[in-house]
Amino acid sequence: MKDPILNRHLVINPDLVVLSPAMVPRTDAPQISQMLKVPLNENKFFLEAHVKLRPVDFATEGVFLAGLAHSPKTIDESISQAKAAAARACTIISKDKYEAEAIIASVNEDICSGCGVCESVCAYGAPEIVLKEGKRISQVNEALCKGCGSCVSSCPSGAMQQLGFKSQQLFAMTDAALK
Amino acid sequence: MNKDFKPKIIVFCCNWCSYAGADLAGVSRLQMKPYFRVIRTMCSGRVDPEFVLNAFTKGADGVMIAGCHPGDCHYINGNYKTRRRYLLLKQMIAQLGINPQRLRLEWISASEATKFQQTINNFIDEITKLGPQSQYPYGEV
Amino acid sequence: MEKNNHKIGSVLIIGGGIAGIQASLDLANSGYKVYLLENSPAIGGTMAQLDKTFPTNDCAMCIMAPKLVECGRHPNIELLTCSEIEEVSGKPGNFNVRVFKHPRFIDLDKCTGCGECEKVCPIEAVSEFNEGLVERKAVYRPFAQAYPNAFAIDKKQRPPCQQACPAGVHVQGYIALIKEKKYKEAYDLIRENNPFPSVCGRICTHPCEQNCRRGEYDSPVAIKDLKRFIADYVIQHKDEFEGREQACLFPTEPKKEKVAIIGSGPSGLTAGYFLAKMGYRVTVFEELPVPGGMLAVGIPEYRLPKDILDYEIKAIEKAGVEIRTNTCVDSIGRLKQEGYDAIYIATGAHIGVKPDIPGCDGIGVVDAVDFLRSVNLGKKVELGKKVAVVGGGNTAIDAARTAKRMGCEVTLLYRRTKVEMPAEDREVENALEEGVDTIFLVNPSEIVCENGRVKCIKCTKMKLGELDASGRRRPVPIEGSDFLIERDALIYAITQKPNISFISGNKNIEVTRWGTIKANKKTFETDESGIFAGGDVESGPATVIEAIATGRKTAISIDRYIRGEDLKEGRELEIDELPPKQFPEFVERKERQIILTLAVEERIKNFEEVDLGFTEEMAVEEAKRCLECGLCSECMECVRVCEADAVSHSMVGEHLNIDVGSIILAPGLDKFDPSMKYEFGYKKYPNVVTSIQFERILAPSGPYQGHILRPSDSKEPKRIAWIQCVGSRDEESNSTYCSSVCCMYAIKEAIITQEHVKDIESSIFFMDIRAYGKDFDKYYERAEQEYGVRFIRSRVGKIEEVEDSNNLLVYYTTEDGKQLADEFDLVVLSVGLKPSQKIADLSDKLGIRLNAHEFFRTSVFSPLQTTLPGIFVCGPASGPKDIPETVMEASGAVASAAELLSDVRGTEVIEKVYPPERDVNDEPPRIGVFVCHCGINIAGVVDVPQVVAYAKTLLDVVNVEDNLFTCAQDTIERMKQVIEEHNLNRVVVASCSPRTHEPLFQETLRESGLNSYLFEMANIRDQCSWVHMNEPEEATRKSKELVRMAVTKARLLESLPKIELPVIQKALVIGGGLAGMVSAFSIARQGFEVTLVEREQELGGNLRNLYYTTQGDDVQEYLNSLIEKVENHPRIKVYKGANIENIEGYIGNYKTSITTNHESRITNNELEHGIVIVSTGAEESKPKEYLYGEDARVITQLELGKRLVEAEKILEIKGKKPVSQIQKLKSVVMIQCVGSRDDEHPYCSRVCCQEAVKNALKLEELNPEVSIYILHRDVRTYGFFEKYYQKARDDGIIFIRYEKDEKPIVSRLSDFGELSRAVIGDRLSSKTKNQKPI
Repeated sequence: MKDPILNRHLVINPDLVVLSPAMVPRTDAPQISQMLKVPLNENKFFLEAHVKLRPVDFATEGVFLAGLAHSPKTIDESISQAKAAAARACTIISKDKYEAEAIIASVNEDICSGCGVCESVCAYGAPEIVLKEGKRISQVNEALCKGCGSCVSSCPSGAMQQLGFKSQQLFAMTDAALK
Repeated sequence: MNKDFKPKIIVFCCNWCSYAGADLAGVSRLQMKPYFRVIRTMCSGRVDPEFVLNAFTKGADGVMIAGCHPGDCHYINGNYKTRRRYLLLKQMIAQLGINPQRLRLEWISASEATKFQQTINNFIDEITKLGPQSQYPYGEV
Repeated sequence: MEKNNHKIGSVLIIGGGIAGIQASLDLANSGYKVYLLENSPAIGGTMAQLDKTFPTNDCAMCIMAPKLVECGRHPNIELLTCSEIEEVSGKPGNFNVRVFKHPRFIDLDKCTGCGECEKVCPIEAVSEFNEGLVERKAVYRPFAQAYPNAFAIDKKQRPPCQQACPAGVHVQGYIALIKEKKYKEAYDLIRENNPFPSVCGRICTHPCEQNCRRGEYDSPVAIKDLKRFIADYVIQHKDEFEGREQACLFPTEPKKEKVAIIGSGPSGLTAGYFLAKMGYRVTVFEELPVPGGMLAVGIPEYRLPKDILDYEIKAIEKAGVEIRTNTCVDSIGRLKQEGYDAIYIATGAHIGVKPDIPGCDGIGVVDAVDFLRSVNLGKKVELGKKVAVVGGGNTAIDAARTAKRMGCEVTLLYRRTKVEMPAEDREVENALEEGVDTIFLVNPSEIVCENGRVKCIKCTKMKLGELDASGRRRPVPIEGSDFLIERDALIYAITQKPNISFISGNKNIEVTRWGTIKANKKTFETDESGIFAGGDVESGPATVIEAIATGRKTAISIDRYIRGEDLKEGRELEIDELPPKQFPEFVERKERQIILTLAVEERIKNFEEVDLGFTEEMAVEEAKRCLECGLCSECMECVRVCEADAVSHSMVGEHLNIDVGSIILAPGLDKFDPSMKYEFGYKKYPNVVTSIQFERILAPSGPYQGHILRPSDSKEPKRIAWIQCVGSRDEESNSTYCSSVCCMYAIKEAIITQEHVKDIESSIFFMDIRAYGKDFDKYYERAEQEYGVRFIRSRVGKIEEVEDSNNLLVYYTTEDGKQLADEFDLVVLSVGLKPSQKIADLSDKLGIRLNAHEFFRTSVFSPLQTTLPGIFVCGPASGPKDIPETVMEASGAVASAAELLSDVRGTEVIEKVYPPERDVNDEPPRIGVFVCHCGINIAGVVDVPQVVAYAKTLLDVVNVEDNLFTCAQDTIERMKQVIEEHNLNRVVVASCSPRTHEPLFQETLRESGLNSYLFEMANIRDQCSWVHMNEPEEATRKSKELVRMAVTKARLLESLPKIELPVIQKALVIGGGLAGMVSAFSIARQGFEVTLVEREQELGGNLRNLYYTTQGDDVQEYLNSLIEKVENHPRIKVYKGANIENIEGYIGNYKTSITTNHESRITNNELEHGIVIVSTGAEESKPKEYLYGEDARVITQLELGKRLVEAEKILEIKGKKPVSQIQKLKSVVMIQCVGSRDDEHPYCSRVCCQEAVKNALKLEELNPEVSIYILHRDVRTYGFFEKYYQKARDDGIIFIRYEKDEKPIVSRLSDFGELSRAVIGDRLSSKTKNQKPI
């Protein structure tokens, strides 16, 4: 091998070699990730809700993240983040009620065929296919729905609606614009 | 090209980026041609293909969907779904005999007032060149 | 209990950047009241300035704006903008804070953010938000999305010109208006303080000019001449301006009270004018046949033409002042009997004082005042041929020049020299030009008369002696120097005194020994209540402007007197609390304009006006010379255009006292100012910009609308260079630490640049790329591989500008010592983060200690705690950091404050109670529409009445109203009333954007018992009137359609239920390492039950293998105490050796089953909790290369750490004698990035560089003989760790860099022999003092 300055190999004969190995996530991270339905990044560290402004939250409300499970960091950084997770957690558990979004998705169970498209498009895991009286239907967890309406526009049967932005309301608006 | 033609254009804007960008264009007094009507949805992912078809059916000369830039979505990835849907929609309207140029998808952030202005003006110009959309001027498909 | 021992459930947060915002929201959402204090007029901080954020390229404003609004509208967050801390006292749990709120000059509750004021503001200032790349106005909003969405006026100390003007005329204001060619507005502005602009534009002694700061650079602004220009312009165009009289400062409703004014001079008429403006009935009594006092009879017409004076007196009469000439008042008492409520004596000083010398009664000895009066009244005056004038003031000059115009030969006698003459220089010069002779240093001692007529004047020569009270040298007669001059007349202009015979019967009014009336110097009330005196009769002979000033002050006093108010209170503007303006060191020289005058030979023939004034062009040029010392000029244009009536220039600052339980400091950062690094040419070369300026250049909302242009010529650059570590890792600039964020933001800027313009060539000059954060390395690699950004490992020596092209030559030294230069179109200096100036200020005021780098001092185990208990810090105030870490710390500081205040949680917050909601779902729609004018913002373009009429025709609409401002408080009240009156069940507001205003109107609906979702908005301003300004018809049509769309949707709106879910107020923390324990302990201290689940048999995680920190703290001691606290806390339940089997549920309601395996006893537990914290940790991987595991001489850093501690212990026991293995080592090699930044783990493990440096330093300490080589790819000792890297290099530890694809090789020579490895590369910045030959 050549050295760019000396243009020759460098050989050192030490009596101790110390390696700085990588920090790797704990092996049980995928399991926790599955149980809580919260994502990992490609390096198997947990993936926060937003890299910049929600660094200790998960997209799934009510689940928080701290320490090396997020990414390698120093002691003081871990402490700050752990305290942050505690503070974020207390914004929820300091109240006995949780007020969810009102503009959420809602299923018309008579029409729903239980196809599961809604479940697959939702980034928050709000809709879930359940068996109800022997029929597969979608059920929206009000606590988890953020009201983006993605599932509504994906629903093939029209069973899914977004409160406050129902299709008929938006159709009516379009019609009024084009009258 | 008919000089008196005033196109009817529907613009679906997501609440967080594009609608905010349109507002900023207003605050910055960026002048645009007055032939577009904005309909606000929370996320561009809410824009149902049927909204677009309905708009064309009712005589819209152009439809634009505007959402957050990829990666910027307030709802993590709603705009990716929009993008997939949009490609299909383009094909679909072409099959219905509507020029696919009449449908556009744009990423406009909350600070891109100028982009909003230019995109709108440019789209209006293009639609004006295409002339009225006459496939379904009077009613249902 | 004593009050002081109470804890208070509120927190003060200092700094409204992203840290302050996040902390405020978290606290307010956990039951604490928050005061968020911000120095500037808006929250947002540095993040608001950024274009995108790394490594996700999110648009900063997109992600931040919702937080701004949420924070601004939160019922339990009180924003204190334009505020600063004065003093803090108290103790944790109970602090008292004194806050000073600077005046904003704009009422936050009234301002609608429409921006009309900004359009008319004539003053430009550097835009801080755009980093000086463009200007903003003096009335401004820092950025378009700012919260509060209101403007503020940037006002500095009152300008010196205005301060010097006795009448306080807004000099800077009218000068600014001349620049804008708003002459009528300028004229009216002067008249706010002075009804005689034309007069003062001609004969004022202009103390303003003496004080003009421009005089320090070249020559003062020609203020008087500018004023005259305005007045002339307005008089010349008077027909055009007819009926456009305006006044902003005084109310005008008619009043019944009567005021008498004695004397129609400048003081009397001024008082009369302002009193009439206030609505009083004013009568002015004038003894002479003409009004104007000295202005009419004392000033010669060639200086002040009669028609000009008449014009202004007429205007005063038009304002409602009655002037009775030829009316002598001989008794005050009679006026009172006639029913006058107040009387102002302003009779002036019209009696000339005769010199006390023999012969002064002779014919031809004339008093100048008499003389001028006679001439002005057209009386015949006989002087003879040769005239002497005695005196050196303006009156003497007036008399001399008047006599000259009467054909006399005139000699001026003055007892001092020309320099001491009190007359204005220009007047003296004019007199000399016109041929007036002068004899200085003489004094008449006798007038020799012949036949009772003046024949000769006997004069004594004088010399100048000691200084007298006036500061001038006193003239002293020279004995025996008398001489005679022959003259036909002598005019003396020595001094004047008042005639006050008419008050002789009044004992209450005191007369001074100078024969003037005594009155209070502030209020001008005499000893008799209701009787005022001012002008020369009170002050003795003084200037016109002083008389005018007194007149105005008296008018205010009289108004207060009549209304029964205290005469003195609050009379002075408290404007002195405002900061002074910064002045440039260099102002380009530009001498003042000289007015045009009549030729001398023309002048002396008649009484034509001598001065001709400025042309318009000259006036505008001259106005541009103003340095705008007050920044805001108080031109009142903003007041004029603000339809919401939100501007108040008389607003004063406010001192507030706030009680809080805790304080969180989040004052943010300052950017390093590279102008001190002169070798980079910042501010010298236009195309050298800072990285934050470049952010603004990139930003779509920035100065170039997001087009990448360079400042010198607004052309698109083709080659851009970033210079890293400007003001970081640099002893010279006193910033030895690493700023932590610059590598990443430079990469981001380079990437975004590529996304804007594909073919720009980007080069980054750097020492190490410190991409140590999550997903940072991936970003770095993408920049290089996908975007083609050139990374040049080098040190930049200097930057030079290339002549003509304004391009820049960057001189740099590469790693291998080559000296090169490269040419670029634009250079970006990646400036470091400096401790904010506010940190030093807060440290002083609060007594908080700082660290060596002048950031707030914190410690490893209490990273958020300042040196004062109860006061916490977050964000870059305690060291450089990026946005996510700042946000994390903000929430972390919240936890600390909440731990302190958990027992008073919820005590200071308000919860709004709304009336019960009306069920309207079965009712047919009844829609109310409110169409907003938004002042002229909508109504100026859109035909609002048409829209209203149209809305009335829409189906289900039962009521339509239009409002000047729908968001104004009174309209909101009106809306509630209308909802009730018309039994509305849907509301549509056609105004601005729902993004800013929907919550306000929704709140109104809730207060009226309607569900907040029965509301719809039509955006007819931001997306209609503002963007279709030139097409009013189309805009009106569009507005109608937008209203139609909104109404159509409104018909279909439904009440949406408020979804409330019960919350189990308990937490589950998964993972009992450091993070898990800290989280659990904090939650427990905040008052909630926590279950902590750890898979191992012991708590502690990785920390169990760490012994000390880089800074030297004892890790094990901390760990043991933490474990003890956690295990013993009554609200924490710890499960060790536990496995999570299953988690079910959602926010507020989780069920988790765990199994524990403790000493082979397996138990199952079911837990219920409301939230989950995942802190499962990470671990050191086991290396698979470099003979690890095969040779005992290859170990990891953790293993080395352990050996070092053991060696240290042995050393302690055995004393100095080296016995451990460590002490026997001769040569140690450390290899970095083993398994990091490779294909398997493509990320940086962040801690290894500092770990290696830490262990190397320790090793060296224990064994000074050892040679240590650290083989690395970049040394990523970010932040304050840079210090230890520096120390390691200074201590002779050798850092050798290798490339990713040319890794070191470790091979075994023999089982007992030496290890060897080959290395390539070297680094730039090594300072090795004992490097051995290899």
